[in-house]
Amino acid sequence: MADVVLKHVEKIYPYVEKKKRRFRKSAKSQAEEAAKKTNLQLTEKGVLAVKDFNMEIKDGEFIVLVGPSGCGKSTTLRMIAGLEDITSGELYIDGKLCNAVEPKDRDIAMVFQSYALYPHMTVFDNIAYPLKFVKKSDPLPNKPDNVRHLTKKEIEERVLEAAKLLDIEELLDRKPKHLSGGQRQRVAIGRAIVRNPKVLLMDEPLSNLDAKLRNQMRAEIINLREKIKTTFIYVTHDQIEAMTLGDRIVVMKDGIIQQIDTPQDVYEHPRNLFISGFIGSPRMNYFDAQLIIRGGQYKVVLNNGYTVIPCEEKQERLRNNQVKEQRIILGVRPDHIAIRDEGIECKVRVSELMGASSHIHAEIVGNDYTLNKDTFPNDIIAIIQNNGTYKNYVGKTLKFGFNGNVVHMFSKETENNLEF
Amino acid sequence: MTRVVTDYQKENRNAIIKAIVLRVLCYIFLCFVAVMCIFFFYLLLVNTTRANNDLQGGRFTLMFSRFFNQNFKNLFTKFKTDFDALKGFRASFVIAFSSAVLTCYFSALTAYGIYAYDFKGKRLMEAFILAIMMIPPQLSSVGFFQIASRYGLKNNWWILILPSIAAPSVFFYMIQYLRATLPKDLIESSRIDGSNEFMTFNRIVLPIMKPAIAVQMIFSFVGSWNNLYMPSLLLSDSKKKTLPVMINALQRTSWGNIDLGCVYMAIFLSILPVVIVYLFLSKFIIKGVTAGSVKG
Amino acid sequence: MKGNKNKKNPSYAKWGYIFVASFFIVYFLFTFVPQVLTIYDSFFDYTDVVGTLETEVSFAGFKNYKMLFSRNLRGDIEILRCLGNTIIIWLIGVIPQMSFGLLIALIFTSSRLRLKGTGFFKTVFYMPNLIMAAAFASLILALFGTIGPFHTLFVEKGWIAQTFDFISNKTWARILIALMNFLMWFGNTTILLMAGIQGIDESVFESAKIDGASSIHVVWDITLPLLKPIAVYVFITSMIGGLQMFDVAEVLTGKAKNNSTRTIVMLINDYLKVGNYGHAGAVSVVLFIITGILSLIIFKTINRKGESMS
Repeated sequence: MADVVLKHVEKIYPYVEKKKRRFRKSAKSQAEEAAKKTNLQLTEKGVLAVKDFNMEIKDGEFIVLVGPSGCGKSTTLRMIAGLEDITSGELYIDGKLCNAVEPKDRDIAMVFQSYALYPHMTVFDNIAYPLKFVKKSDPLPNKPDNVRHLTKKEIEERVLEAAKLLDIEELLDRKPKHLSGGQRQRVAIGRAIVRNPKVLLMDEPLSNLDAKLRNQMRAEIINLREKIKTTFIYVTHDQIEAMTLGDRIVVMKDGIIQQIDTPQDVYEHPRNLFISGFIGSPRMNYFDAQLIIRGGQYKVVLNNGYTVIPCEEKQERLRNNQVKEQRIILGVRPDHIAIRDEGIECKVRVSELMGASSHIHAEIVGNDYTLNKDTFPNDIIAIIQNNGTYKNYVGKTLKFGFNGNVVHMFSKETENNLEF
Repeated sequence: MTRVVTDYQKENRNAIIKAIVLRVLCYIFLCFVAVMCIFFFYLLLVNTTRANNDLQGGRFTLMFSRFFNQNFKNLFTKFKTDFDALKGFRASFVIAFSSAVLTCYFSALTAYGIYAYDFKGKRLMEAFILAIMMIPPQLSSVGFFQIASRYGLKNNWWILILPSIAAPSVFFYMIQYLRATLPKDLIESSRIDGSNEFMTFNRIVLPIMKPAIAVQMIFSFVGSWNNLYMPSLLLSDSKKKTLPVMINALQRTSWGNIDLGCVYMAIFLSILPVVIVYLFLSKFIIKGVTAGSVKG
Repeated sequence: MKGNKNKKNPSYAKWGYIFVASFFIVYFLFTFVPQVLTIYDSFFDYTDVVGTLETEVSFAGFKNYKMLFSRNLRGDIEILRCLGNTIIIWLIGVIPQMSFGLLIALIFTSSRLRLKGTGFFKTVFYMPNLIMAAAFASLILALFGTIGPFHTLFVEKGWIAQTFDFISNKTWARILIALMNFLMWFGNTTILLMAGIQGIDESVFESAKIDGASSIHVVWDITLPLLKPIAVYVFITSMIGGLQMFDVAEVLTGKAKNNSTRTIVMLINDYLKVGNYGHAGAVSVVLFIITGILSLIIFKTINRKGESMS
């Protein structure tokens, strides 16, 4: 178990000057083109993949780095592992500066997305492999700081222990090609934990599994976490994994940290528009709105006149930040929208029966009230609890409303949450 | 446990020094191997510039001399009886080029036939072609030579060219390429457009196969250009001999009364065309080596 | 699968036959028939008609084969001697070929070393593969022969006697041939082995790095075992090619009548030149059988490799 500290860690991929050919563009302009697709920053030296990453991870914490593809989460993980050089900044593992330390000396373990099992070795040998290099202190009378490698028996014991923990004891004689995806995953985890590493790194380990297996393995990872007390650093693009597994999650985009908080906090108080849209499923509803001040109170007014007064906590935060009147993007989660007597008039187009609840897609009567770009422009999504009876609302015109304690107000220019 | 920072600096420095030393050693080793490769050909080049008298003396030198033009001229005039360079080049070129063209075209044709059409025995045929790749050419060479002798087909370039129509290894390369790059819908749609089968092959499939054909043209040409065995058996007429056969004939027990400058020049010119093509296309050729051989 | 002959779905199957016809016709005429003839010849006695225009030969059964494997005037079994020569020369060449090929492939693909200029070296290393073997051998003959610069140089330095001849010396001739084979083929081996290493999932190497393996351990525990199928393929293909060794040996030592460098194909060639199709055929058949066995081994190895890939 160890704590991990990152100070101003950055990763720049330098422009590689390939052989100049007459009609080839220079490396810099090639990189510019490639980077345009990903919104990564370009410096004179190269493409900025990770910018100013600062974080203190406590002993035994389960941290999840989450974000869309290309956001720098895997790069950060690999820098912690030592598989990528750190361009600038400092990495401390267990108090030691580790920038230049070889991966094998960092006392870490990693589970890869592709599992990276040794194809020619049996499961037993795969798990035992890291133990070949472990040095154990074995003080002798005349040599108090003597170290030795583990004996065959000791290795066997530890492999069996790990196998038992992961329920793969019957597989020890098989080779990876004879294992299913889930089994391979467990072997990969077994190999990682057998050394009792200080930090356990996991790079999208569940991405290659089908949905059902993924749910199962998620529960098993939580289980695992209870049994072995190590610091976990977990990378994923799946926000559900992030929310269920992490003690704290780090939301990243385009190489920059967006927010570091507990899952609860990220869900309830997203710091900007991107985070609010990325975390939570189905996605947040967005409305074009106006933030006004009347009688010392902040009010949110939608284009059709529907007005909501933010709750007292939000009022205070807005006052503290001296937020002025302005056009805003209003965000409301689908689970916070209810059918009311008074509210926004909408016609229900689709009603998805999800079991305990229904997902209602309704079109606002009137025009241009919402900013949900990838659904119908005038749609809102609401989650309605069925409470045992399923009502089919399709075709009906209903009124939807929400309270002042669930509104998220984002600046139209900066896309930042105005409360923070 | 916190370590003192200076320990890390020292370790760092040691690691860096070790890394540099290792790199230098590797470069030295690679240069040594490179020199091994080039050395003899460097000597060849040097010796093409030396006069015969100098060479007869047997002196070892790495320095260029001035007799390149002289040796070049002599090769085509005085040395003609020992080594008719022009005729040799002509023979080698015609045979190698024709073989390459025929091999590539017909291997592509056959590969397309197996790939695009479903007919009885198709799988058997493909397996057969793959199986015969394993048979050494010497098994057929005896009978081939016998037939050629009996029917007066020796000294005829065609018997060296025509067999290249059936080349199992080139077929294999082509069909692998087709499987990876040609969607069968393309064939369907061209039929619908009114093209007959041969037109489809020539106008649509062949252009798609250009990279594969280019690679095999080179390998086939070089293989034929360098081939000694069959030509030496079948070509005895000095007007029809290819370059390797002529070079083989330069072997002598006594090199004393032969113009050594011309000998080196002859050897040099024989390998020059391939070397020039290689220097321009080396990256392409090297890529082609693995494209066909390694599976998966 | 036969196509149905209704108007809606015309059968294109016949085109398949048309397209492959050229291959099979040419193969039949120029390869298959001669192969049959070779085997047929091996059962006939051509020794009487050698050097004459006679074409009548008597059936000899397995006499040719028996003769091949019986001792000749000098007391040795020619075919075994030639086979021995071929294999020894091949062995002397293949060991450095595979060693250098492997070492260089490891150096080029090492993520730790990250060397520059590998393209240049690759170009240089592969070049000898394309050099005309006859020309190369002729060059070596000229350079190492009694008038050659190396000979004079070594005599000057006192390393060899004036009368020493590399070409007719039993050991050195073999070494020279093996050296040429090595130079001509190690580049090819390097490239194939490199492709094999690059085919290994990068994350397997990263995982080993994290597990604590040093570079040597990575090579020994992971790279080499995973390279085994390709290495075996290269090794056996090299053996099959080695058995067919002709150009280099013939040009270098053909006239010198050096008995330690006569290869199997040179033997066939000699028989052919005098018209002794019987013996030539017999030797060819023996060569075919040996090659067949080796090919079967490759076939089995590749199939096993195919399994491990899936």
